Amino acid sequence: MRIAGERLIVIILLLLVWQFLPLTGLADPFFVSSPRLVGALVWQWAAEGALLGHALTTAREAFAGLLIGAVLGAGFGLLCGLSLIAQRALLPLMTVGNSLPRLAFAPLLIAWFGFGASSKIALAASVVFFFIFFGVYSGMRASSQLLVANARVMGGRGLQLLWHVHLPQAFLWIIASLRLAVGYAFAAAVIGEYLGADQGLGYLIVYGKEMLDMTQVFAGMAVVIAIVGVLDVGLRRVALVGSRWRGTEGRL
Amino acid sequence: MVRRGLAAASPALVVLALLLAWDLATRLGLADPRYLSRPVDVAALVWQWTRTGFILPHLTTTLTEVGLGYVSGTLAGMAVAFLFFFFPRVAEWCDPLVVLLNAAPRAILAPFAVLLFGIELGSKVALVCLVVFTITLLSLYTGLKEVDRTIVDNARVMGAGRAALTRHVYLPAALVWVVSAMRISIGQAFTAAIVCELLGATQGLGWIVAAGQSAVKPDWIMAGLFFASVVVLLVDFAILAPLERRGSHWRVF
Repeated sequence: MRIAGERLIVIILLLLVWQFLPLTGLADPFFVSSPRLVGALVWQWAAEGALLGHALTTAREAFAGLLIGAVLGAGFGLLCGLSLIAQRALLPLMTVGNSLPRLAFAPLLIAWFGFGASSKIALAASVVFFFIFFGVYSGMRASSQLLVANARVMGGRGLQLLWHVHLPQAFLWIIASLRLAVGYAFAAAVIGEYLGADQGLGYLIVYGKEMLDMTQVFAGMAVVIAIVGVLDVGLRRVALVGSRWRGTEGRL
Repeated sequence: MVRRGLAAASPALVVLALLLAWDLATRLGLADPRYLSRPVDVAALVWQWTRTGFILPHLTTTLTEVGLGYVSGTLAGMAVAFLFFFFPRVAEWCDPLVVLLNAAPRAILAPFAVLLFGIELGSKVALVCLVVFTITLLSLYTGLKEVDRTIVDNARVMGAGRAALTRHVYLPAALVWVVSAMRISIGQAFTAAIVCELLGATQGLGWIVAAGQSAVKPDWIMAGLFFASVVVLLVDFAILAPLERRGSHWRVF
């Protein structure tokens, strides 16, 4: 409780410093804006209803990308975990693909898919894909051979094994990697919008940048970070609940 | 023998098949080469840029940005991690800020950096520095907290003060974490620099890609991204991966 109070004081102090920095002559109000102006602008957007529309656009792109990337990533992860041939052929490519600067590929995807939502969805999916792929793949590598062997002894094979052993485990690994992936999916949608869009939070931010309006950049950024932060905390809870039913021997 | 050779070559075969599919798609009219370009055109452009030396100033620009931001970010991250470690009170105060900093990939702060620090070198170095700073700070701070108490206690018994502990126990332990943080942050560092260049630059690999985008020249975009990818992969797999392996094999902490 005391810590929470002290943290609050630190945050309020920082906001005050931000608000009154221009008075000291250390910073130009044109560049640093102020928390009051930023708050007022966010409030105004919310009141006009524009905020919801832009936020929904970005969220839709991010979640569509998340869904596509997660399904494809989990599929390929399972494939590489189960088949040695697929692992041999694909794993080196995945390792290379994973270390590419994928967010910088936005202009390419915009050239391919146009200025609409599909280019941002593709970018988000390409980022999420590798998170989920490696989550599922390394999860399957680490998951116990004991479980698989037991299921085999009890007569499970083929699809049964996939359905009762591999998929439930893969699900846990997906949840675990999803928390990281959500932030990246949003970032991908926003960066895609920076480079060509006519709506969305990224568009708001980059429009502010073009107009040299620091308040708008701050306000858009604050909304993005708030959304990602809330999702991050929420998914942490989900991951906790998800791991509870594994009990102690879930760590086999 | 043949099977083993086939297995070793299979990733290359997959890439080849993809390139072939791309080429055929543009030739059979399934895809428009004006938007998709062709593998041959991109390869020709890459070769032309290499031969004429056109790519060189752009490469050095991006590498300078990443290098400067990398070094300053790592040093700043180490300094703050040690500060947090020795003054846990400060760490607790700053926790919400760290969470905020870590909530989303820092590359989205690019417009911000461009507005504050201009379209020259400054904005890219600042953004790369912030990216590397956050990753180093988090990785090192967790690492320092996991340093074996036995080693610390032993050193204490032998009369080590805070300075000696830092010098002989914490710094060597920290190096391992710093190197692994460098490995994690390299991709993000390049991403940050290139995204920043996309939004406003006069030179650099990102500038090439942006120029290609505004002139609707997909071969420029792809050749620019090709060079960016090659640089990232070279730094990651040829420099940092061996370094990480060397750094961690003697690891006892």
